[in-house]
Amino acid sequence: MNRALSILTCACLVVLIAVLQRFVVGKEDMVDPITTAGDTDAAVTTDDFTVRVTEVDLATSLEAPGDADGGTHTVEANGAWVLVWADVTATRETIENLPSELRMRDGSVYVERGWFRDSLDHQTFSPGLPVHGAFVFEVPTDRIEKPALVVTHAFGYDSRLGAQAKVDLGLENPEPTDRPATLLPAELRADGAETGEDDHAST
Amino acid sequence: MVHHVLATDAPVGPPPRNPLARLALVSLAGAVGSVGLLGVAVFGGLERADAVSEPSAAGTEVENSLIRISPHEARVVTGELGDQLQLRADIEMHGSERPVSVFDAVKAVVVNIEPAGKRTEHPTVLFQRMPDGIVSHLQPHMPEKDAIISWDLPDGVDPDTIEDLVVTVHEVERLEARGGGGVLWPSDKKLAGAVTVPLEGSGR
Repeated sequence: MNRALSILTCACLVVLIAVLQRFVVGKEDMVDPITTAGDTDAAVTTDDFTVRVTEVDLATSLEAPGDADGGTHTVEANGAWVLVWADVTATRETIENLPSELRMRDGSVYVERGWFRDSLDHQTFSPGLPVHGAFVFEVPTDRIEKPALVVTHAFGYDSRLGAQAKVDLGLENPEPTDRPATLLPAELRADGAETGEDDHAST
Repeated sequence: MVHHVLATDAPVGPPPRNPLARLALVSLAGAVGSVGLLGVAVFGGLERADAVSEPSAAGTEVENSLIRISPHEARVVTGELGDQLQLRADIEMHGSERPVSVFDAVKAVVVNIEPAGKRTEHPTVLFQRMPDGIVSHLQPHMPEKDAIISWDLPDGVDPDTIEDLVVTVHEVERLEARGGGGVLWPSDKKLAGAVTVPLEGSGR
């Protein structure tokens, strides 16, 4: 009887150890950014900022404002341009560096090209002031599979333990259009104005 | 009850047990090894690890564990920054699922200027379809036609004397930095391949 009891206790302890092992954070992951996950239905709120994805455009070329002359130039994609339109609001301090990436389900990751001054990547976010604009990615068309937008507050260019939002874009089988997508400059949104018309969708 | 193994039962090493048989086996192995070595030596010895017998012709694809590159056109361009060597190449990063900075990705590509014998490294990269934008990262699974790779011309090289660029691509190794420090791609001395691109005179 006593023996059966100790065997049972041992078995329970082994199971308990196995379960507890799952909670051990690996050395490499210990300083990973702290991620809040969500989807396009609602705002995703992290410690440092909120991001609400409003729309996603896919196109094979992109019309972006030019440098100084006020004109526009069109840039062909090696694949497709993915414009993720979003409202981003800093919560408590000014955010200078908010790198973004697009993560596919197969694990491949794309960062912004950095060619467009008007993308959200290049903006500064002051606390409480929502900025509306687009994150601009270039991806191979056959790799667009359940992409998620991942935005990280990298304070001092260091993303360790930084606030991070992961927004599932909910794209199942997206087809890029041949009509150029238009990148409009990021702009401040006054409170309440964000329910209005999609001014970029008309192009 | 516990059964004690007797000392004489313990194995004394791999078979065969007979000392003479062992001696014969060792001698035979040694003889076979020597004949093998002799054979390698007679047929010209081992090739050096980094030996690339002859650089390939322009347009040939060279690949290390991170990138594929096929250089097809070279010229000297005089711009605001002085003389620059400009190489047109198709380039693809295949060794990482995450973007790799151009600095890291193209570090292993070294250009030798012939016949001056000078080398130059650390180029900037542009794409033909976006000539205004410096490329900061190579992204996974995106083969790019007509990338424009530019190096500063080293001091003391007269552009008119250049005949060929020998583009060498070294092997790289993937190293993960500790504590979320990212991934490093140090290049080593081992050559993955080399391509000779004749210089075109029409660039200036």
